[in-house]
Amino acid sequence: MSDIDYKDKGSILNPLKSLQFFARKAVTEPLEPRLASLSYRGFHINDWELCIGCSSCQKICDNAAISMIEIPGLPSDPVKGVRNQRPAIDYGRCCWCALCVDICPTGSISLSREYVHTCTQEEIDSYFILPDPNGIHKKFYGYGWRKVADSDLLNLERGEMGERSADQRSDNFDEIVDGYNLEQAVAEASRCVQCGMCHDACPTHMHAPEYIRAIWQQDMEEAVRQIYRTNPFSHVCGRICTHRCETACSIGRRGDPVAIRWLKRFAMDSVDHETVRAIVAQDKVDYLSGKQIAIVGAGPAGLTAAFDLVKLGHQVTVYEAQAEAGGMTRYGIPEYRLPFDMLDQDVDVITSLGVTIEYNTRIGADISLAQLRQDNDVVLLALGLQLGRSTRIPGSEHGQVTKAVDLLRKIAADEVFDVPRSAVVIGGGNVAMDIARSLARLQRQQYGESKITLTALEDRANFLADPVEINESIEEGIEILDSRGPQACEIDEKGRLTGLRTWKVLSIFDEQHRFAPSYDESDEQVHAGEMVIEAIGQMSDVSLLGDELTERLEWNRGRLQVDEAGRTSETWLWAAGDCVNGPDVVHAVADGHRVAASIEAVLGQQETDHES
Amino acid sequence: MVSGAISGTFCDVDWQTSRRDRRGIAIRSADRETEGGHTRLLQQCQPADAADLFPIGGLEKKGSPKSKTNTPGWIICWEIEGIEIRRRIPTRADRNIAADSLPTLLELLRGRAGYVHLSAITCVDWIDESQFELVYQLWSYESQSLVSAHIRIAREPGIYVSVFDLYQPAAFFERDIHEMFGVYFEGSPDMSKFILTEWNGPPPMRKEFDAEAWVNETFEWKDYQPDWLKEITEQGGGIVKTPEEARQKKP
Amino acid sequence: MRPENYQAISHPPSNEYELNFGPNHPGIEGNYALKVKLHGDVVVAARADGGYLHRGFEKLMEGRLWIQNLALVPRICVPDPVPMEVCYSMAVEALCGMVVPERAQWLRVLQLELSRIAAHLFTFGGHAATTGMYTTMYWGVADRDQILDLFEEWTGGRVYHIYNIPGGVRRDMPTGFLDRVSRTMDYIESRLPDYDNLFFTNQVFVDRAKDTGPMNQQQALEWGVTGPNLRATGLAFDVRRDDPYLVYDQIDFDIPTEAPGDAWARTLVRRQELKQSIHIVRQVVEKLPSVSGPVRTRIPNPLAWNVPAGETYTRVESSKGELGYYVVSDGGEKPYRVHVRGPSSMHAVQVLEQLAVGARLEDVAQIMFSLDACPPEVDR
Repeated sequence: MSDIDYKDKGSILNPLKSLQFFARKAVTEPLEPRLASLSYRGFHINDWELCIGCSSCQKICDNAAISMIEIPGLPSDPVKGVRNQRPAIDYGRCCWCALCVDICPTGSISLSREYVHTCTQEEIDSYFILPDPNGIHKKFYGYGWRKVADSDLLNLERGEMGERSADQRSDNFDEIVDGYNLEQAVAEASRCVQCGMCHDACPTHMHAPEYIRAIWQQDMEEAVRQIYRTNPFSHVCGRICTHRCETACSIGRRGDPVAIRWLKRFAMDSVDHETVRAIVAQDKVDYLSGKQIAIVGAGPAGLTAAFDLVKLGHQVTVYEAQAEAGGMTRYGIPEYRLPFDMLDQDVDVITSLGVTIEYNTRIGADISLAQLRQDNDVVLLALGLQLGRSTRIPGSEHGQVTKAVDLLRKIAADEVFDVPRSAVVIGGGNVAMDIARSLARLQRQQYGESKITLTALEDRANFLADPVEINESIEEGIEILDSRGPQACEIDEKGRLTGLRTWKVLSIFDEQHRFAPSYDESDEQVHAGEMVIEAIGQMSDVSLLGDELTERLEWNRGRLQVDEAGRTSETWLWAAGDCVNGPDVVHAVADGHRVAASIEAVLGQQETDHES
Repeated sequence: MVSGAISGTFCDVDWQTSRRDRRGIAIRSADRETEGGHTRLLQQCQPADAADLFPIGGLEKKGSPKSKTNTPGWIICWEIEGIEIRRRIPTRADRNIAADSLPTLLELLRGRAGYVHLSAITCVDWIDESQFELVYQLWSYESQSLVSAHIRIAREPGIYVSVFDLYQPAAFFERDIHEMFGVYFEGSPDMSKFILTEWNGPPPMRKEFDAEAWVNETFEWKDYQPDWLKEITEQGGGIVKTPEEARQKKP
Repeated sequence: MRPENYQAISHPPSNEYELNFGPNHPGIEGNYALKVKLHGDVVVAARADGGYLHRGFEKLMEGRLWIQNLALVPRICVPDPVPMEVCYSMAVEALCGMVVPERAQWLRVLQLELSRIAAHLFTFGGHAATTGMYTTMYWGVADRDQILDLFEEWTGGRVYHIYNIPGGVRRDMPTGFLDRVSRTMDYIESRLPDYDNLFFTNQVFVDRAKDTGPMNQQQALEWGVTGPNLRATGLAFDVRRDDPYLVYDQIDFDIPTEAPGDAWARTLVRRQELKQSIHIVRQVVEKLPSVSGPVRTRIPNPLAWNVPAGETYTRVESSKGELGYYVVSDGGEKPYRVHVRGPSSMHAVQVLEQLAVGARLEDVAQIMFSLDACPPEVDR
């Protein structure tokens, strides 16, 4: 029961007891302004240096209080994933719940300890504020609720994906990564905040937010539909793309970027081939335009252009010098990164639309370019960069000195050649890693062990290859030596190649940033090897043009000069892909789309010109 | 009606376990249309099991939290047709029953098993199935367990019988459901509006009533023009995405 | 009632007249109206009229993501917002099958009890004000402010904490916080004799409150009364003990009851509950340093979070009674239906109407406050 004695009538002296209250402090609340607590949810402040304009705060605001404002003059860099937009908040709607703070990928927005704002009805516009580092009244009251690890609503860690270990993979060409299962893919897709930075950064502006959301909703066919809006080489890109999207991903600011590339791989692998073909065929028009287009080169650029143009009703023939399509994706990228049958699927979707590919047909040898010009309305050159550059050091004309691209082509075409017991690779880019790792596998298959030495001019921190590639190469036993400049190939008295002599590199570029390496001649090493492979760059094989055309055309530093539309100075001749832009698969795809659109515009214009 | 395992502060019981597991037994309902559910229920389990499952009464010792794990007092429902019982944890049970059996069930629960407290009546609008679901939450002070009874009624005409004669708190809930969903309860003492006395539109909690659209049509959102926005608009910037657009984008 | 909607009705001559108690009235807790028909100054009929605080929360919640509803939920009950947050979070956790870490459960208990103390102090103040004793009201509000200061330091907000999240709580407490809690509890406990002298044992109050709005246990059970109002009729039912949630089964506390069931008994039950709550808080403060671990089970990215389909009814003991949340999910990212069963749904409507009959006009406000009827819960 109660410990309160309500029946106690009290004594007559009780009123006097109340006098004690004169001596006590009054129970009251102070009226002076006081600073709020250290984690108070007051008015917003936003660090514009950190803010990237991703609009995640806008999406999570439960009162729809946030608008995104574009502010000219702020940095806007799609490649890095930065937009010149900043959030503005309607304080008539905001309830200061701090969900925006907790979801912000960069941690730029936070709530301060300021909480007083008054205005008359005429000044009601002051309720719409643009938070900056100082706050609504330009006076900083101190940080209130900021993001801490506990309150962070984002999942910053990427799901682990299975991979072959170095022991399991170093003697075979099986694909290294396992790929996601459904559960992993859905979990990874749920990390995305749909900001669209990936879309902006992608050279071909893939609709990544849309297909990631479709994967999360477990609607894989919708994902494939969204993927094919921009990229018919998605089995390929889902494995080997240079993932500009992931570099720009806003989750990657403080955590692991969303695995956009692996998710694309998962979506493409989940839908069976027939369904993919059916989805893609829906976009094809059901008439023929009567135009005939020839494309030289069945690589990503050429086939993407073919894909677009055939859907618009044109008749497209692709001429491919090799026995199979794919270009560098087949003959340059090893199978352990991109299995041939996945590439075949991509190519098959394109040919199923009605594109004809003439294999083993080299333009300039089997058919002349002039013939193509005669038989077609438009000729598109998508030649790629099939010729390797040479260091031209003494001894590089030896038969055992070969270019990486040539050797990779041989390996991909399953041609037999003498696998050297030891080899030296010159170069530090992705192609060098590819040939080193491929040769290492062949060596292990034939001899049980591998011996590859890789030398590059750059130091380790500045290697041009993907860091993941470098690590995997080292795991597979490849010796990587940085800052070494090749000087000569060592040939013994019997005429056999025995190795490569290198000097230590002190610097690569001079003060005018020209290529002029300087060496420390006292630091000389000879790396033993039966074969030397040069992987220092590639050029396009433009011999098909013929001397006269080569004279007439305009060139830009050794590459064909094209305008923004992709057209050369000859009105019937277009060029796209690596041969124009330099090596990169997704850029080639983007280029193919661009060129196809402008070819279509020109052909359509010709139609109207004819009609009028 | 689906339900997953309940974990967390309650004990982990999977309600799909077989009848041999004493703690987490689920009894499936039989087909309501073809055979009488109740007789088949008893045939599925042995009489001894039934007694174990459904001992009547059993006053719990007050104030002893550990008594939760003993079998609470259940009611033997063999007098009611077509009942489906899902027991989730020892203190909770869900029952789906035919709409006309509910008053009988409630009478039995109140009279025989001491479920004297009606905690809530909720209406859920299953518009795709053209049904309203009414959920009655009943609590027994004696056995300290909660029973929730679910019934479905047709969306049109949306009429049901009131349980006010059994549970007086029902009057408030039924009045609330009437003005919010439009369900009429026959026999309820007061069906006049309580909260929405000045509202002449459709019952607003129904799924076809889009409250956001109504607000957007009826009221005007404030169009702010602060100085900083004017400056930025002059420089070529401005609002690129309003919050309404961000909301529409969600599929 | 808007002027344009008012319709004048003419009544036959009688010696009864109708007064509108509310919606803006110091004798009403919140915005609520009670139309009383009087014969002299004795009430012969009363009719509750709510809806002035209707914000449409149940419909709003269907249009927002699961996590966005956290900002709406505390606003349903203004004086005691924490049980709302905790109940909603517990319902979503039950649907997802989430296990809340132990530290988070202790933190939730601490929040609930501090909120209960603050709400009771507020109610004492209100109740005293209806009997004309305004000093207690000032004291109640000022002492409640000490607890609001604690909440401000802890959660970032004084009244609407938005601190609970499905899976746990949003962040851990600041360093040194438990000392301040202890000191505040010491302070409030030291104030209790003053309250007793001024209010609870004050003959003015006792005479006013005794036999005002009497309710016996039979009536209470029939009317669906819960919480301190029910305990004032002698039945010791408390959701914390009889349907335990969080870590209440590890905490030692009594359930105070009184027998008479009138306004005085109800207030006294709350007074003793306040003491019990202080006792619980002290136990939690002692236990918390030894409970380590995360304060939250992580949920997926809230912009891409589907709660599995299902339905659940979760109950919590708020300072006013039994609070229930019935949440239905259709497997999507927004709730399909959320029904809030506020304890005052019973108290403010049917019970108040019944108890007001026969009371004198001056006691009607006192009856409402003694029932601790909270209109925001009724209207949602």
